[in-house]
Amino acid sequence: MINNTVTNKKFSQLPQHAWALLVCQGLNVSLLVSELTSWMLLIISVCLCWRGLTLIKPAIKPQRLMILLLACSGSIAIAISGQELGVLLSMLHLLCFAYALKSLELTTRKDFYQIVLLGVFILASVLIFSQSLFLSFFVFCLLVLNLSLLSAYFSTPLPLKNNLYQSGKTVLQSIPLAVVLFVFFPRVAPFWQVPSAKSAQTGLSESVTPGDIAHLARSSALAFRVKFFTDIPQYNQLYWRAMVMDDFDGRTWQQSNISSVKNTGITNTPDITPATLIGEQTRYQVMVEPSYQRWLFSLAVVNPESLKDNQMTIDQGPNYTIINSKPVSQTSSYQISSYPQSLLNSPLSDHQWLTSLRLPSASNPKLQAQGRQLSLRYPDVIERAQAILNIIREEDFYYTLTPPLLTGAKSGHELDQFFYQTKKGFCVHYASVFTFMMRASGVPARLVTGYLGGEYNKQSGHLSIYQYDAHAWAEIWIKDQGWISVDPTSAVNPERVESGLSQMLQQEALFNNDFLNLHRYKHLAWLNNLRLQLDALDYQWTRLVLGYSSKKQYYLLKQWFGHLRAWKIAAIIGGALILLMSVMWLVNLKSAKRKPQVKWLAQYQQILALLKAKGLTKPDTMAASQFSRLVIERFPLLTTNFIAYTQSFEAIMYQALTPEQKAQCLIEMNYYQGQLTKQLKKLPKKPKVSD
Amino acid sequence: MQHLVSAILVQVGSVVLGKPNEIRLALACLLAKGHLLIEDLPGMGKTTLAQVLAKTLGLSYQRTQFTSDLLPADVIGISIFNPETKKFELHRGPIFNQVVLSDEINRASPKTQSALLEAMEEHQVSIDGTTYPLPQPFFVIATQNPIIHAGTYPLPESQLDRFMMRISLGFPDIAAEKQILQSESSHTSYKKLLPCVDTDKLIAMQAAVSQVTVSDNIIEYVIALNHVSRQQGFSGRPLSPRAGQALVSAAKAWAFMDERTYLIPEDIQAVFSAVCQHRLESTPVHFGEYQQQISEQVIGQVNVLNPLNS
Repeated sequence: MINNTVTNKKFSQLPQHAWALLVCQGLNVSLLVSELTSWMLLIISVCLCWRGLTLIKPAIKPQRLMILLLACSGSIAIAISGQELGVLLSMLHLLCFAYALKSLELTTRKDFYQIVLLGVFILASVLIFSQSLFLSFFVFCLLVLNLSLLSAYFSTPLPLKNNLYQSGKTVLQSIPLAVVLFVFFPRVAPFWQVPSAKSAQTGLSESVTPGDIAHLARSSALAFRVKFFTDIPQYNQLYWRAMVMDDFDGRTWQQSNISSVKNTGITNTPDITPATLIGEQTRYQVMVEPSYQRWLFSLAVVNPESLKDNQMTIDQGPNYTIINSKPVSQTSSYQISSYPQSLLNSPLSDHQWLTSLRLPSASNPKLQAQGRQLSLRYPDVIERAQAILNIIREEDFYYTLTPPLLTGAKSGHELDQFFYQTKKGFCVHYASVFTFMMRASGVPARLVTGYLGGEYNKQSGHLSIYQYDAHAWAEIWIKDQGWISVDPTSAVNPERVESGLSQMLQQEALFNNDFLNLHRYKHLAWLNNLRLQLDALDYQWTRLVLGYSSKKQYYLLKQWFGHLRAWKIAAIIGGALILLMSVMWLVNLKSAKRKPQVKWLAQYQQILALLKAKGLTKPDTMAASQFSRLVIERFPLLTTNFIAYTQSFEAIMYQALTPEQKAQCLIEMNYYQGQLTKQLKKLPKKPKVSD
Repeated sequence: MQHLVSAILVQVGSVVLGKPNEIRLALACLLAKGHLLIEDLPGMGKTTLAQVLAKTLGLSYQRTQFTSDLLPADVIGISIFNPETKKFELHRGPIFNQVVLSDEINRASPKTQSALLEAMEEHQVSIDGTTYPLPQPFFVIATQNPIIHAGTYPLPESQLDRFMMRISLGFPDIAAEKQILQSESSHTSYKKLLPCVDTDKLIAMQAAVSQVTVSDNIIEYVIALNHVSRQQGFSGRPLSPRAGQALVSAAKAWAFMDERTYLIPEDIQAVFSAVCQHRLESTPVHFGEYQQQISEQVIGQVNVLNPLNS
C-alpha cells in the first residue's frame, strides 16, 4: 500500500469525485439501516463524517494507528454481539464497518478499487432482505452511481453527469445478458447457503389479547397476494385462516398445541382427521411476503393433496391450518385448492373437547353468568349463538379501531368491562366475547385469526391482502355439523365483513401521521388508480421474477425445448450469447458507418434551434463566427455569452487540441450553452425583420 | 507580431483611403508569399496601393510600365559586352527587386508577360545560360486594366493562376473621395512614408503564417468548395488543387492577421472571392460578360457545419 508507483495515482487529486464517493457510500449504507444495530450506525456515520471533514481540512486526517485501533475494537464488538445477531447479520455488520472505515484510508488507486467493490457487494446484500420491485430499481440506480464513480476515475476530468450516462449505458447493455442467464442458467443447489436473516416477526402474532390487531389495522404493508384460477368467491367468503386459538387464560388466546408444532414440526398429530371434501373446488395461488413465521394462509377447507405440488414444503397444521416447514423469510408462493362448501366435521377428541370448553373460573364472572343463563333460555346451539349476536346488534355497541384501554377492572375482567361498560371495540373484542360466552354456555368454541377480504386489482386480476385486513372471528362446534364459523363483527359492523374497513374508519384511525401513504388517499380516484397500477406492477414482478423457481424453470424449458440435457442448456446459453453479441456488433457497426453526429455539433444545433424559435435563422453556408455578429446585432443581451460560446465551439471544431484541452473546451462550451439556453428562453420572441 | 500588422494596415490606409478590406487582402496575399494582381480602371489607385505597400514593408522595389513594345530583356536584364574588361556584364533588370511593380501588365506582349511569369513561379531567372536567384522575399504586384479596354493582351488562364489573388479597388465612397480631392497628391505623400518592418521581420511573419494549424474540418470545407466548381453544369471553370492550396495559404494569413493560430471557415470565406474569382471566371465569349457573382455561388452551395454532405 506504500509503494506509490505511477499506477498508484493519488486519489486526492480528484476532490469533487471524493465528495460524490462519500455521498454514494452514505446512500449504499442507508439501504441497510433497518438491518444494522444503532451502535453500528453510529460508528458508520462517525467514520463518514470524519471523511467529510478531512476533505475540507486535510490536516485532521486520522493516524494509521488510530484506524487500526478503531478496526480492532469494532471487530471485537461485532464478535461479541455475534451470538445475538446471528451469522448473516454479524457478517453484514463487518462488511459495513469495513466499508465505512476504508473511507478514512483512501490514498491509492487500490483503495479506491476496494471501496467501489465493497459498495457493490453491499448493494447485493441489500437484496437478501427484500426483493421488491421498487427496492430493486433503487439498488440498480445506486449500482450505476457506484460504477460511474469508477469510470470517472479513469476518464478525463468531465462532469460526473457524463460518467453517469456512460455507466448507465453500459449497465443497460448488460441487462439482456442477465435476462438470458436468469432464464436459462441452471439453478444449482448452492454449495453454501445464505443463512436466513433473523428478523422481527411481522403480521399476526401467535397469541391474541383484545386490542392486539388494532396495530395491524394501522399498517398498510402487504401481507400476501392471491391469484384465483377459478371464480373469485364473494368478499364475505374470503376468510383467510391462519391460526386457530383454542386456549384462553382469561386474558390471552393462544394455540393449545403450539409447543408441539414449534418443537418437532410434526404435523400428523392424532387430532388431525381429514375433512370430507364436497362441493366445488377453488384453486388459487398465494404469494406471501416475508413474515418470519411459519403460518400460511388458506380458505377452508384445504385439500391436503394439493399441498404436495409446491416448491415450498407445506404441511397440514392443527385445526385445518397449513404451515411451512420453516419461517417464511422471503417472498414465496404456493398453489393450493380448497373446498369452501365442505364442513370442518372431524370428530372432537376428548382432549379437544376439554380445551375448547375451558375457561379460567375466576375470569369475567358477569359474562360467565350470562352465558349460563342463555344456555337455559336457548337449548338449541344455533339459537343461542343468534341470541348473542342479537345482543351485540341491538345494544349500542360501536365498532372502532381506537377503543378505550381495558385496564380499569381487575386483571382477567377485561371482557366484562368491554361488554358491560365501554362497548367500544373491534373484531378481536367481539370475537373474544362471543367465544367466551359460547364456552360459558357449554358449547365448544374457539378464536380464529387471519385476514378477511382483499383488494381486487383489475389490472392483473389478483387480490392484495394488506395488514389492515387482519381479522379475528369465532368457530363453534355443533354436533353432526362440526366447526361452524361465526363472525360477530358482522353484527356490529356489517360493512367490514361485506366490503372492508370503511373510509371513515380508516381516516379516523389509520395512518394518521403518514401523509405519504397512498392508502390514505383512496378517495382520490387518480391516486388510487396509480396505487393499483403500482400494485399490479409489483404483483407481476413477484410472480414472474421472484417466483421463477427451479421447478418453474424446468417446466418452462421442457415446454420449449423438450427433454432437457446438459448440452442442450449449454447450447441455448451459448447460442443466446452469440446472438446477443452479434446484435450488439451489428448495431455498433451500423453506428460506426454513420458519420457520428459529433456532440458539440449537436449542441450547437440546439442553440441554433432556440435562436430559430426566436426568429433568427442561421443560413447553412454562413460561418459560425459571422453568425455570432448577426446574433449580437439582433440580441445585444447575449453578446458576452454568445461570443465566448462561438469561440469555444470553433476552437473545438477547428483547433488542433489535445484530448485534455478538448475536454476543457467542452466544459466551457457546456457552461455557455447552459447560460445561453437560460437567456434565450427568457427572451421575448421578436418578429422576423423583413428586408 | 500582430501590432506590426495593424501598424502596416494603418499606414497603408492613410494613403489609400476608404479601402480597408482591399488593403487587408493585399497584405494577406504578401504574407502568404503570393503574387498580387490588381485589376481596375485607370486612376483608381492601383499603383498607389502597390507603391505604398512596398514602401511600408521596407522592401526594395522598382516599377515597370508595361507597354506593347516592352521586351523580356527590359524586365529581366541583359548581358552587355564591356570593351574594357572584354567580358559580358549583366545589367540586372527591374525583376531583381524584392517588389516588382508591373503596371498595366496586360499591355505587354505575351512574350514579355511569360518571361515575368516564369520568374514569378521559379523565383529565379536565367540569362545567357546562367541562373540567377531572385532576392527574398519576392513579390510581384501587377496591375491591369479591364480586358475590354483597347490595346490589351489578356493574360491566359495558366498565367492568371500564378497570381494568388486578384483584387479590384472600385470607386471610393463620397467621404473618401472628398478626402482624396482635398489632400496633396499621392505622389508626394507616399514618398514621406517610413517602413514599418524590415526584411527579417517580414520573413518571421511569413513563417508564423505557415504555422497556423488547419484542421480536418477546414480541409473538408475547402474540398467541398472545390468540388462544387467541378460539378457538371457549373457555369465557371473548375478549381485546381493549386487553387485550393492558394486558398488555404491566403486564409492562414487572414487568420494570422486576426490573431488566431487556427483556421476557421470565416477565413476561407473572407479570402475566397479574391483568391478564386479569377480562376473561376470563364473567358468571356463577348466582351463585358463578367461572372461577377460566381464565387458567391460556390460559397452558397456548401454547408459550413457539414461540408461534405451538403
